[in-house]
Amino acid sequence: MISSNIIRALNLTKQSTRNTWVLKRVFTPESTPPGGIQKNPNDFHDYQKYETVEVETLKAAGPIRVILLEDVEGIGHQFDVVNIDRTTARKDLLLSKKAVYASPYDLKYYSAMKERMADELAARVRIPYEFKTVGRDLQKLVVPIKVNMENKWEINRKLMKSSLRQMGVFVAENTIHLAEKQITGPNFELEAKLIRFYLVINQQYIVPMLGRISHISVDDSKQTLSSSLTTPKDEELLRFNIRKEYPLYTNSQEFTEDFPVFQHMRENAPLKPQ
Amino acid sequence: MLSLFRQTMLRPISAEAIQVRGRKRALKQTITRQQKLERRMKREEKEAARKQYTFMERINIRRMKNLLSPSQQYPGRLIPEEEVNLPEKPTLDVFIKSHFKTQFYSVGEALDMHRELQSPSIYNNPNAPIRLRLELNMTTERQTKMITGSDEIVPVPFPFKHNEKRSILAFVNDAKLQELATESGAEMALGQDMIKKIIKGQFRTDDYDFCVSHTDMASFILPLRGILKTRFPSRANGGLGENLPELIEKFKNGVKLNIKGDPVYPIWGLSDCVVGRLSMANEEIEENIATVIKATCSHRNPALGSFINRALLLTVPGEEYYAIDVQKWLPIPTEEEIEKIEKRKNKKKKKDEKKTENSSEDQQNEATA
Repeated sequence: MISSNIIRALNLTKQSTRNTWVLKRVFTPESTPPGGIQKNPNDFHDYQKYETVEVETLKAAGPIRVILLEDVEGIGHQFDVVNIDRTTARKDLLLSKKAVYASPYDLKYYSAMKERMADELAARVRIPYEFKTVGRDLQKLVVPIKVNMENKWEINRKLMKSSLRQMGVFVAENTIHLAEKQITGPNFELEAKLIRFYLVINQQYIVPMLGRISHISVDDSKQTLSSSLTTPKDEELLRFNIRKEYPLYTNSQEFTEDFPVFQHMRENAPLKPQ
Repeated sequence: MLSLFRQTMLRPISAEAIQVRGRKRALKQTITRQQKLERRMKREEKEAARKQYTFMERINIRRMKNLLSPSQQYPGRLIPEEEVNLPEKPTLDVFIKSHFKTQFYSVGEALDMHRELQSPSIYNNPNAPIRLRLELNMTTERQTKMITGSDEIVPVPFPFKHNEKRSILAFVNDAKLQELATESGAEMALGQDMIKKIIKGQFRTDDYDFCVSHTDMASFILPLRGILKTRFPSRANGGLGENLPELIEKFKNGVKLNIKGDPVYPIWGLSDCVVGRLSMANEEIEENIATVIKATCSHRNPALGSFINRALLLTVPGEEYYAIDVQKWLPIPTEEEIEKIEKRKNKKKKKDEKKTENSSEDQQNEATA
């Protein structure tokens, strides 16, 4: 019993805790005139009343500064010194050695290393985090391309734009790239057919997308049953002659409106997630 | 070792004994004035909360809490606090709606997007009616009172075909004019003699969407103000005039504006109306929307803040919705209206002060006693 108490006491004294209280007197005693004898502040009860100004325990400790040892998505690049939330830093970055505390020694050490590796770092292709997140969300979609059952239609940029907008994706018309072969209708053989098209973000990042043609009509009696909008399996992609591709990035803004994106992707598309 | 023993065992916390039995003096102890005051405040607060709604309202609210409120049903209500952490404007030319704060478009942009969707190759409804859905804030100057629901017809500058039946009641004394009124589209034309019947309840006016009145009846219909409420014809809403056929035509082609409070969250409201058709010019629809919004906003003191929380443009039928920017049409509070609110606030403050003064006096009295 005693020994465990002792151990606890020892541990408590070792580990620093954030438990400072800042107090303020409720009644401030008069200052003693020069030459006078100071009164005992404990003479009156009122002088022993305090109110809390601040409790350290209740205040958030704030972020900590770490040096990243590798590129971490959404946080920063290698050797960046960042202020980061305590919990993420302690539970993820520091444990997995993706980062170290920004101690004076390490700051000096890694800034020297950064200078040494400057050429290598500059040559590295880094996809901006913003592009990555948008690309990831876009790839999850299978855009239903709604086309009229009775009227003539052809799949063009304008139609794709409004189809995308219905899924909550707002794009400029010149970012959409479609296959050269025209798809026109109404043609019920094309119903539920998957087609490949590309979205180019900021003329830098090509995101392969999937669309599914579905014929619609305002008339309820003519509605067709379209297959579900979930991500298609590999066999289904194969059936429509579509290859599984992943987004492609370049540093320069070369994927303009007239760029042959389809041809470029046929040759250069990454087939594994980056 | 000894020092350790001192550190642990002689600390007051380890010497603390739990008193299991003992004198229960504390139970008999009278409560202090401070505690008394606190308790009273708490009780009063509870009572005020209870008084806010009537018994039936409370039951209804409890019942409706289980359902999804009309404001929350698709397309939902904009709650700015929910999207505080999202970035304001998209920076890329491709963006996903849910990653950013609600984007407000001009009426022209929203209409163009709708037109694209309703084009022949997609939904093929280029003449679709345009629905304006307004999410409202129903609070008033008084905390316990909400803005009451209302039904009215707003005459719009650019009428359109709405395929709705409008029944209009005309008040006119002259028999010839009565005939003219019915000919030009009024459901019924009533004279001076019917007014008493309406007051007595022998003639129901509930089924009529709006009333117009000839100026010669202006003084006679005054007792109907309480019955007709927002449908009461006056110079302000344009229902009172000389030229009946023109008036009737105006209201037949008007927009039916319906303001409804949310049964679950009384501080929210909804208003749905058709403001035009997709084939109309952008400027025409814009004008119509401006008139409707002006009519809606007249229900509440603009000094209280915006009556409209968010305005959405939809088509009928259709699920696509775009939030439109209505800032420029919202009324600017006049000094008079601001004064009204401030007067109320000051009054309340004074009341509170008085209350505290009274309580302090009570305390003093008690002390002297």
